[in-house]
Amino acid sequence: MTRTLTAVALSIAATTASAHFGMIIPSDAMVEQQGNRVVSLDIAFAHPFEQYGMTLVRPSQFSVIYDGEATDLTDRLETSSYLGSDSFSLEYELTRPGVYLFAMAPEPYWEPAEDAFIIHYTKTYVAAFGDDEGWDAEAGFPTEIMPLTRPFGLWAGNVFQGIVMTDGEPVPYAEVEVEFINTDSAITAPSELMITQTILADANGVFTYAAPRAGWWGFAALSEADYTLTMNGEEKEVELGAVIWVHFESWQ
Amino acid sequence: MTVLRPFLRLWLSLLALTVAMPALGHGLNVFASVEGETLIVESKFSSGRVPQVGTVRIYDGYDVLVHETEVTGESAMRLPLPDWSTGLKVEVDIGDGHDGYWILTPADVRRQQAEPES
Repeated sequence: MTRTLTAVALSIAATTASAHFGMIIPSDAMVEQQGNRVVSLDIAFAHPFEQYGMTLVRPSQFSVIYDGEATDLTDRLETSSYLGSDSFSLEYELTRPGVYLFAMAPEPYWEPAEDAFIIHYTKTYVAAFGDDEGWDAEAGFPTEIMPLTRPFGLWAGNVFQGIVMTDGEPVPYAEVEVEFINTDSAITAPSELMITQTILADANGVFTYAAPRAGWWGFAALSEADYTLTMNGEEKEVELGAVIWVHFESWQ
Repeated sequence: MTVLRPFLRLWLSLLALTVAMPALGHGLNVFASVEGETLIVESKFSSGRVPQVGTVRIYDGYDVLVHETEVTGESAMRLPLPDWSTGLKVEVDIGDGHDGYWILTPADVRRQQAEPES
């Protein structure tokens, strides 16, 4: 009985203390020509700090944007598993120098605990062969974080700045949640408040965060959609997330 | 003594180059590709500007210089494709420590020659 209650408590903690994040995690944020020119992508939905996976159904769209041109890769996604839950993977060969923007528009995720749908528009940038042109490219999502700091080639401890945009306009005082992919649960948060950190953008929609540790950091700007979706005949609110994943490198 | 395959030798020499002089390629990005029997050499600064002066050097898989010409200022220089059977290293050197290179393996050349021209 005690064990059951503990398991329930842990389950609640896992779903309430941490945030949902759409995820696109490449094998490398900066691909060099001397190394493997094929980037492997994990495409998932999870609580990254607590290493808790959730089911991701096939996204409505997954694309790569290079030099202003978008290529639909949705049909190339392979089913996979991330943290024990259904996810997708993709092997993608980089052929020219420049920045490749990988972007996912997922199907709405029904979250009964919040009595709402969640749609996290998710993206990440991969720099190929030493060329950083295109690091501020847009994915064209309804809501999107535009990087003001080049979103790769950052040292741990550097700040990352972005501007939260919705329908092409900055979002004043947007709320941005931040989480680290806590691989192998190497970090123990001294408080639940430190699993997901929260910051507000300024009046111009600009937010700033200094990452304390090397690894992948996700930034999710959350907002309520101006529409609802139906669940069992009832209209339900929709949470929109503008998610960007940024890798910070070890200072060594 | 085992004779190193030419491409492996080129690779090892490049590895030594990158270890010994990691900053040499800073600021200049070089890319080379093949269309039929044409070698296309592209180079640009991180600002996006195209170098106006400098030297293009092409080495084979034995790291032997097989072609040298001056930068023309075009964003994509088109050159005759040298013998690529051992692989090619395409280097653009604009002086003052700015240079960069791109490696084309024999497999790269074969694959690109097989692609339809855009």
